[in-house]
Formats: sequence, C-alpha cells, structure tokens
Amino acid sequence: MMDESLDSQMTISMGPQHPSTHGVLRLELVLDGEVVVKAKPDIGYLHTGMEKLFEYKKYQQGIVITDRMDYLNPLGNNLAYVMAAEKLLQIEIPPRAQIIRVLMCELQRIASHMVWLGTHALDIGAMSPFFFCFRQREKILNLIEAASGGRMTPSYFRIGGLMMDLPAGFERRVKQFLEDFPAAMDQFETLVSGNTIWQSRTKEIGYISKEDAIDWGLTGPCLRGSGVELDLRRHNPYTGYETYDFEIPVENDGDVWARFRVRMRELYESAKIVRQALERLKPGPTKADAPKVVLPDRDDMRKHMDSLIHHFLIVAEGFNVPEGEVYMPIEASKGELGVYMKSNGGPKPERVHFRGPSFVNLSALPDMSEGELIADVVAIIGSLDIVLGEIDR
Amino acid sequence: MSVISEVLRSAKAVISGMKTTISQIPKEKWTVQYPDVPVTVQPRYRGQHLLHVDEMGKEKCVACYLCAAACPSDCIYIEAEDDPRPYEDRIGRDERYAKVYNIDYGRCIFCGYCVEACPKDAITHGYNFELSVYNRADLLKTKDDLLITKQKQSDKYRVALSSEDVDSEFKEV
Amino acid sequence: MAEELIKVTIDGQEFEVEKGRPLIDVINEKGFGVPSFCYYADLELQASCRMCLVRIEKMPKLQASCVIRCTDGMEVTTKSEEIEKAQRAMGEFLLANHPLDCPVCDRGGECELQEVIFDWGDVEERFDEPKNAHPEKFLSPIVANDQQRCILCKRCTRVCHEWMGEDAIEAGNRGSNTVIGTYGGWLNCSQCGNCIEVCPTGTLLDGVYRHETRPWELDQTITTCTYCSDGCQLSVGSRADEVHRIVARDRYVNGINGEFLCIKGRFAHGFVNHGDRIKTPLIRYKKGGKLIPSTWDDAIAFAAERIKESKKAGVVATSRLTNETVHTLKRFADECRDGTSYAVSDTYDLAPFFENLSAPLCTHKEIRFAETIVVIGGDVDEEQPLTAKQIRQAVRNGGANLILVNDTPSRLSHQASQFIHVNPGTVEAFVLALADPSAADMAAAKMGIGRAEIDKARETANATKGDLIIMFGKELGAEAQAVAANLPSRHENRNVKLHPLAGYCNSVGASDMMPGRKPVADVVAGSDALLIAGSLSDEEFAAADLASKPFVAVQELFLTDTAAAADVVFPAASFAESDGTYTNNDGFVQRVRRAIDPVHQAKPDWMITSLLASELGADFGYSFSASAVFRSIAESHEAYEGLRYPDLKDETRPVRVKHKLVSGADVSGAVASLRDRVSQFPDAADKITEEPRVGHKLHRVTTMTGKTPQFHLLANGNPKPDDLLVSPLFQFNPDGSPKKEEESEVAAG
Repeated sequence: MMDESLDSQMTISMGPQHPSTHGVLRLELVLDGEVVVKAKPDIGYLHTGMEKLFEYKKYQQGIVITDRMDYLNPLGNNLAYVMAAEKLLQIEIPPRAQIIRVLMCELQRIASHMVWLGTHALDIGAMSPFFFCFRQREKILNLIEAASGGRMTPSYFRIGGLMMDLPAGFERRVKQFLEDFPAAMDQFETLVSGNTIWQSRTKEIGYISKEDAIDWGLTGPCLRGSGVELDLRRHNPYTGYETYDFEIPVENDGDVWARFRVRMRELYESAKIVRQALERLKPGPTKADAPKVVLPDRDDMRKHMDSLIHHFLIVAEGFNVPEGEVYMPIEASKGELGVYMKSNGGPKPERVHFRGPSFVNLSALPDMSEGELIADVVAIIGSLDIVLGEIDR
Repeated sequence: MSVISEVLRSAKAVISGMKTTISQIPKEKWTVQYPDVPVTVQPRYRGQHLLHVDEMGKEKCVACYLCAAACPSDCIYIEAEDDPRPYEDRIGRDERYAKVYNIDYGRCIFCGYCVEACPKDAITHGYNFELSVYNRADLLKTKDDLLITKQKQSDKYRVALSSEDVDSEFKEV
Repeated sequence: MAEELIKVTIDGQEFEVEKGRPLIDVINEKGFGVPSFCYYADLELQASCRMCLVRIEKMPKLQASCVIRCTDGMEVTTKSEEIEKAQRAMGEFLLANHPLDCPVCDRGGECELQEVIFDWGDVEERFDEPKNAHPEKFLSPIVANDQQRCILCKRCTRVCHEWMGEDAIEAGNRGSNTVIGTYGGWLNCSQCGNCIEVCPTGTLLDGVYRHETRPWELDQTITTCTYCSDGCQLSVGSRADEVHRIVARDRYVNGINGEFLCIKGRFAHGFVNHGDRIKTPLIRYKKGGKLIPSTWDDAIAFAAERIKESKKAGVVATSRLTNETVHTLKRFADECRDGTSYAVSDTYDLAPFFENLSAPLCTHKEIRFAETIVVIGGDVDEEQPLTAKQIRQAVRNGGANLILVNDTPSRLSHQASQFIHVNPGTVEAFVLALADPSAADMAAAKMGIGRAEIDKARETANATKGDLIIMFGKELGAEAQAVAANLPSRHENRNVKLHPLAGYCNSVGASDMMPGRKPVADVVAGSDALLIAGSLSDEEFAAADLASKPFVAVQELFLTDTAAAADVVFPAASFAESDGTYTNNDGFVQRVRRAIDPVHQAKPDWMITSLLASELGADFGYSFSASAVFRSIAESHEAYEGLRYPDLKDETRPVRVKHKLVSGADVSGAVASLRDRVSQFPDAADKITEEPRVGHKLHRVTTMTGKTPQFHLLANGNPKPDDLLVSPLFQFNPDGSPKKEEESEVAAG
C-alpha cells in the first residue's frame, strides 16, 4: 500500500525550530497528501550531558541540575532526586517538611499544567487561554519565588529537608490563590473545553489503545487518558500522599480530548491537595535530624564549634552516602519520573539516571500520529505535554 | 450534521470565548510596564551577589573558600591573603581577607548555595537582575562590582513586603 | 619477621596478630577505626588525648588503645554507648576552648580535629562562657602559632625531640593554661616545619603558605625533592599553574620519608614561580654585547651554528638535573660531534666509590632499624636531614650504636655512643685505620685521638649482629672512597651496608648516567664551545673564565653568574614543571612529576638538549616524551635495565637500581696511596670545639632558596621582632635590619 502511494509521498522536517514542538524537537514526517504516513521524532538538540554531570557534583550540588531537566516542574525533579538520596541515606524527614513538599509539588503541578494548557491551546489556534494560563502560573511562580528565591530554578528541596522554612504570610498567599483559582478554572472551561472548535480538533485524534499505552510505557495523564488507573501518588505513595484525599481522573477514550480532560480534572485535584496540605501545616522542624548530612542551624553555627565544624565539612567535602543503589519514582506532572541512583560510598554519586516521562511518552508519538492529518500532529504533541529539557538531558 | 448547524455552533463557541476575552478589558491591568515601572521581587529573590561589610566598613569575607567549594558551577574564584595589620588599617574584618573575589556571571546559576555556605554572612544575593552586557568578558564581576558599598543598585525593582499578596505587583499598592 | 602470632578478638571477630603490637594499630588496620590525636606511629607514646578508648574484657575501666599491647586472648570492644559517651565528652572538652576559627584557619579542610569531631562528635556543647582569646602570632618567620587552637597532643614536641633532636618547642604553663610555645617566644631551631606537618589542628601553621588558599583547591602532585640526596617524597600543591605549598602528608605521600621534610624541601619552593625566572631564550649576538630576548627557533639555530663552527665542544651537566637530562647531555656529547668531552659539576664525585662498591647501598628504613651506624665525616644534620632523623630515631627509639667520626661537633654528636672528635681535615685517616690495622697507630696520631678509640669502634662493629651501616661524607677523597667502598668485603660474615652522603638530589644518578666523565676544569679548558646545563659552582666558575670562551650556551632557571656569562641562555623548567627521575643515595630511582606547566617559555632541560641535537643532525628518537628518554636510559645503562615509568609509579615501594657489585677487588694500591696521604697530615692541630649554629647550611641563601624571602631573615640571624603578631617579613629588611616606619607601611600597602 505504501509502495503504491510512494510517488505522492513527501518527507518534511518539522522543527527543531517549530514553535509548536515545545522546544527543539524535530519530527521527520512522511506525508501522503496531508496524511501522516510515518513520523519519526529526532531528539538530542538540547543534550547537555546532565546525567554525567551528576557524577562530578556532590549530592547536594546535584539538586540544581535537576531544576534544569523538566524546567516546568523543577520541584518535582528536586523531590525525586532528594528522595532517592534520602532513601540511600535512610533519613526520616520531619512532617512539616513533608507537608511543605506536597504543597509545593502540587502548586508546581498546577503551574506545569497551566503551561501545558496555554501552549496546547495556542498550538491549536486559541490565543487567549495562553495569557490567562500564564497569569495563573505567574501567581504560582511568585509563590515559589517567595519560598525559595528562584522562580524557575527553585532548588527548594534539600537532601534532608528544605532549603528554608516557608516565609511569613505564605499560607495566606496560598489561600488567596486557591480562592481565585476556581474562577480561573471556570474561565478555562468556557474558553477551551466548551469550545466546539476545540472539541472537534481534539476528539478522536491521536488515539492510543489501553494495551498500546501500556506497551509503550506511557505514564501520567497520557496513560490515564487511555483508561488505565495508575497514579504513583496512590499506587506507590511517597511523602505521605497516601493520607491525602484526592481522586485519580481517568478517561477511556485514549484520544487528545481524553488526555486534555484528565489534566483539566487533575488541576482540581491538585488544588484539593494543596488545600488539605495547608490545613495540616503545623509549626515544626523542616530539616531532618541528621547532623552528618543536613547543615546545622545558622545560629548554632555562629556560636558552637561543633556545629561550625559540621557546617564546614559538609559544605567543603560533602557527605558520604552509603553504598547501594535505589530507584525512586514519583508522579511528576507529566508521568512517572524515576531517579536511579548508585552510590559507591563517597560524596559524589557513581551514577544517576532519570527515567523521564516526557522521553517515554514521546516514543508513542509515531503510533498516535500515523494516519492522522498533519495539522493534528501539533495537537498530539501538545497533548503529550513534553519538555525537551528532560528528553535530551 | 449540516454545515450550517456546525457553523452556528462554532460561532456560538467563538462568541462565548470572545465574551470572556472582552470582559477582561475593563478589569485591572495584569501586565507590568517594565522597564518604566519597577518589577516586584520577593524578599528571598536571588539576584546579583552582594559582599557585605561590618559596621566599621571592613569586609566581612575571610576568604574561607566555602562558597567556592559549595558552588555547583565553579563560578567563584578567590585569592586569599594575609593582612597582619591592626584592625583599623585592615581591609577585612579578620587577618585573612580575599585579595581577589571574582564571580563569573557567565557561569553563575543563582542557586544560593554560596550564601548558604558562608559562615560569616559575608555574601548574600542582592536583587539586581539586569546583568546582560554587550561584552562577554564583562560578565566577570570583581570585588569592586560586588561590594555592597560599591555596587550600584538598580531602580528597576522593588522588594515585596511579606504582608503583600503574591500578585500585588499587578495591583496598585 | 618471625613474630609470635596470637589471637585477639575485636568486636566479636577473631584476628591473628603479632604479639606486642600496639592495639590501636591493629584496630585501625582491621578497619574498625578509633579516633586519636596524640598517637603517632614511631613516636613515643603519650596517651593524653583519651580519644582512642576501648573496652577490654577483664579490665576495670576503659583503656586507651594506643598504650595497650596485644596479648593473647584479648577481647576488645570498640563501639558501645559507654565508649561513645566518653569520646563525646572528650570532644566537648577539646572544643570547650577552641575558637570559632575554621573559616580563617589555614588547616580548615585537612584538620584532624575537624575530621574526628565530624566522625565521632555530635557534641552537645554546654560551655557558653567566653573563650580564652589569644591572637595568632609568629614563632619564627615560617612558623605561625595560635595557642588557643591547641589540644595538647604534644605531637610537635615529640617530633622536635625525637626526629630533630632540637627540643625547640615545648609545652609551657600548667593545667588549663598549658600552651605550646618556645623559650623566649622565638624559635631559633632549624625550622624544619615538621611540627607544622604533624599538628592535628591549626595550632602550628605554615608561615610561607599563609592564608593563601585551601587544600581542596590545590592539585597535589607527588614528586621528589630537588634539594639533598635523600630524595624525600613530597606533594606539591599547585593551583592555576602556581606552586603554593609543599607538604609530605602521609595521606598523599607515603614515601621513604613518611611525613618528614626539612626546611628546604618544605618551604624553599618560592623559586618556581619567582619573577626573576628567565622568560625567553636570550642571545648575545656579539661578544661584549647584551643578552637579548629571542625566540626558541632563533636561539637553537644560533647555538647549533656556533657549536658546528667550533673546533672542540664540551658538555657540563650538574647533579641537580634529572637522569633524563644528564643522559641526553651524554648522548649529545657522544652523538653530535666526535670528541666532545663531558663532565658533571658536583661538590662530590662518587665515581671511585661506585667502581669499588662491594655491598648494596643501605635504605633509610634500614638505617632506622640498624644496630650500629658509623658516620665518617659529612654533616648529616645540615646536609641530609632525613638520614639524620633516621639515625637519631635508630639511636633513641631503636637503641642503635652510633659511632660518629668528625672534626666538628654537631647535634648528632650529643647522641653518639662514641664521638671520635678528630683533628680538622683528618677524617680520611679513620678509613685507613679501619682498612689497614697496621696503620691504625699512625692514623690515630694524625687524628689526634687515642688508639683505644679506634679499637673500641672496631669492637663495637665486630660485636654487631644486625645491620652495620657505614656512611661517609665528602671529606673522603678518591682513594679513601675506594677503600670505604671495599670495607664490606672485609666483613663478609656481617650485614655491612654503605651509605654515601652525596651532595645533591641526583648526584648518584648523574654519576650513573655519565660514566667516563672528566673533571669540569678539564672539559672547560679543553673546549671552545660549551653547553652547560645548570650553573657551575662558584669555584668552578671562578676558574673557568667563561667570558673568554668563543661560545657558551647555558640552560638555566635564573640569570646566575654562569648564565650571565653565556652567549645563549635557554630558559629551563624547574623540577615542578618537568617529568623525570632522580636517583637518591639509597639507590632508589624516584619519579619527578610535572605539577604545573612550564612558566613563561621554559622547556625541560632534556628537551632543550635534544632540540639542539636535532638541529645538529642527531636523532635521539625522542623529543617530547620523558618516558621515551627513560626507556633510552634503561637500554643503555646496565643498572637501570628493564625499568620503565610504570614500574616507578608507587612511591611507597621505590625501585632500586642495580649498581654493579665488585667483591674482593684489590684496593691495596688505594690503601697505599691513602697511607701516603695520611702520613702527610700535620701531626698536631687545634680541634674545632665550637658547635656551629643550627641551620648554618640549611638556611644558606642560594639561587633557589634565596627566592623565598624568609630564608634571608634566617640566614641573617633570625632576628626576633618586637611585634610577634605581625609577620617578621613586614618588620625586617632582608638583611635582618629593622624596617623604618614608612618603609613598612609601603610594604604593607
């Protein structure tokens, strides 16, 4: 069949500078008219050797590298990395730090989905949602900036706890945000979900069956959009997620629309978790009781010799992590983000590998887009919600 | 489904979308008119570094190299020196001070590790964020650029009060 | 060693160990780990820090494991709540008065106190009162002291006493006021700096590397010292192509010297990055003209042209050069032009010794465990400090007999079991007395000692069951050397070993590399084109009259007299900038490693020579790889046969070159001529009774040591400044006179 139509086939290169490929993804598309016969993602334009870089940085220094992988969900990356190290070190994190981690991660998930929604809509042709989404994201980035000092590169979580406790007035600000957020969601539902153009551009596009989704190793909203209920927050809970009350949105259609709906419903759930976390927030320590790993309190360090020595050596030489290897998966905004970490007992990891959700999800793109129209490829890419920083690493 | 009904349905969607869009017009403006209007930064914002001095104007830095050791991007270069003179004549607060203290802003990633590492509270992040230059070599800032007594603070930012709302920068305060 | 093996149980695991070993060594060797400050292997025990506490079954209290010797059936617990509590309490005590100084202290990052507190600490600090405050002060131009950081482990005082025999540093005051210091507050010792090295805290600090950088910023390169012939292994700390300091820390280096270094090895590295280094090749185009900076290509072409034109060429090497350089110079002489003569400039030519060598050279470890040591002449304390330290420890800690034959008393003579104080210049007579008993009476008379002294020494030697080591210094002429080298073959039933006290870092190697060399004066006189690598000694230079030579090329670091008289000067790389090997007086061939890139346009000496040779049409088969040069050495010298750089990788297991041994050689001719010489010595002479001041040779200002400013102060009497808080360099001119007020301000600003 392909042979017959060979004469009319055309190969075009989409990207790496195409605005709707979300970074520097290049797609090699073989077209028959407007129909995609074959799609081949070509990645590596953003390769920075991050995984190798970890081997030359002390454990604590590695956190800043994770910020730059999935740069829309840096706190999720931070969390996966620090939890892998904490698992090796067998450190117990105090409850307040755990709750703040959940709170910040869910805020970050909302911010990440806001970028997804804005750009996805922009790709398909709806301009305004982009601005409204970024306004919401801006509020969250301000919150993250207030807590950590960085907007897109917060490095807020540290091995053994947090960089600092939350600033004064933070809870009030989050409450303010949560009050305003449902109205914003309504706006999105009107602007996007209820839009017939949107629906016809997304429904029955980019279909992937439940079995295929599992075979391709899809995770996160892409998998749940195909009717598989798998959320690591529920099925392999960490940081106390098992104690929060939230639903796992699942859609069975397996098309762009289904994945869109899953993410939209997730936004409500995330807001719900943030609200619960806020209620639980009680004063308490934010750093683990692990004097060989966590920097001592600054006041102590100025007064006590012992603390000063610990501060000096932890900063100068880092801390030794017991020999061993771990795999620490979390549910990031895009799916399962797993950190494989191997320690040789020294202050620097021997190997750190990331199982990035974007990378795996992207591999299903040819399967989804073959047979679709070329205009729909953009919609499919948008529905996969990929970040090239994580794919290329 | 006829073409006409589909057109009508789409038109309805467009109209309802436009309604939302148009309803924004009378509302308050969310865009900051930077650089005419200063942007708001949070108190913990990590901008260009500041090297601090004590109440007598002596540099607090003792060139202990901890910031350089903590730095993930190796952007801090220090040369320490002995200053055996009495306190009044010294450059720094202690007998050891940094003769050279360079930060390469071409490498710096503003992670704040140096600030966390400093045992003498000598280095902090300031709020200056307009660091772009025409010449790459100018990204290398020396002690003269970093000292709090010498660094020119930009008027393009204002620091948010912790009592303010997060989105206060979008509102008139 | 055939020690009795016994069983010791540590934390439930049973081990077989040698009986009588210190328990702390066994525990640490088996990987259990106890902290300690005062314990230092091979020093006398102190047991003052109380950190190494362990529980031993059937002993009532916790025991300090450093003073416990292993006995059969001992059951030891190293970790328990009780022990940790005791250790934490000790840690709290140690820190109670410790200033919050880590950011300022130079030891930060390599401080044993930091490490032990980090690993065993978690101290709950209850001491909130203000601490005793003393500012950091100077004990000498190169020793800085902060008495408050001291934990009174007394490693420094023991090292000063046992290694150096100087007792310069001691603990003063009592109780909680005890501090480490020195009498009069100013150190007038040899300034070896070993107290600085062994100090586990920042109490004693290097005044040359003061507040410069941090240990983790430095690249550590293990290399061999470039000063005396002991060949200490040291670690050059460099950062951004600048040598900052030299240490002998065992954590980096575990060579023949452990943590021992002398003042020169440790502190005299200022010459490497000194501003006076020759920066480019220099050419004097016309006799009487100036040396003009030039390019390498021009300088090499110019020199090659002149050597080609000359009637007879000569090559002079010096004994500070690497084996690679001396070998290349020898090949240059052999292969570039027929009839080129060559020489090695050295204070002490060991050719007759190696020609008659009848026993292996002894190693420094063997000196430490020798039974009898005979030192004939030389000035071990000042010229071979490591050998002196080994002798001192052999006597003090090992109970060895030391027979010292010298015309001048020295620090070592106080420890000698027999000090044979001879007339000035008659040391050779003792060798004659040993070799020819019939001449003993005559020799005794010439030396101004009783015959009984010689007999007593002979008896001691005869009664020796273990190693008998004979060392000799540069007082011995060619005949006496040959006779001394032959001495072991007269004592075939005993372990006699020889140890020449050679003059420079590669005296032995240069001697190996250039067999058949001529005296320097002959080579200089006999050639009209000279290639000199390094500088001639002052006497040789005075005799040589280089200015009258048609052409002289010199490879040097600095514009010395020799270099200033040359027509072409090539900037050479120092030991820190080139790869190579030195052969020390143990016969160990040890690596010199490149720590930094050559400064300015300098090139390694052998590279310069081979460039010049290839311009002259010779092909050595190497031009850029030091290991290729070494292979060429291994192929052309029997003693170095089969050696390659990878064999020399491990400094803890140095490789010995195989010097040819001649047993039963006939030295009767040498004995006879020695007898003649001795008989011509004057019969009566005044003995030298005054002991020269400590450091009279070590502190000498030379081309290399003079580049470290502290040496000028030491050489000029080490004056004590009024203000001990400020470095003496700010208070004195290099000649030792106090600086005027305005001058010191200029210097400080």
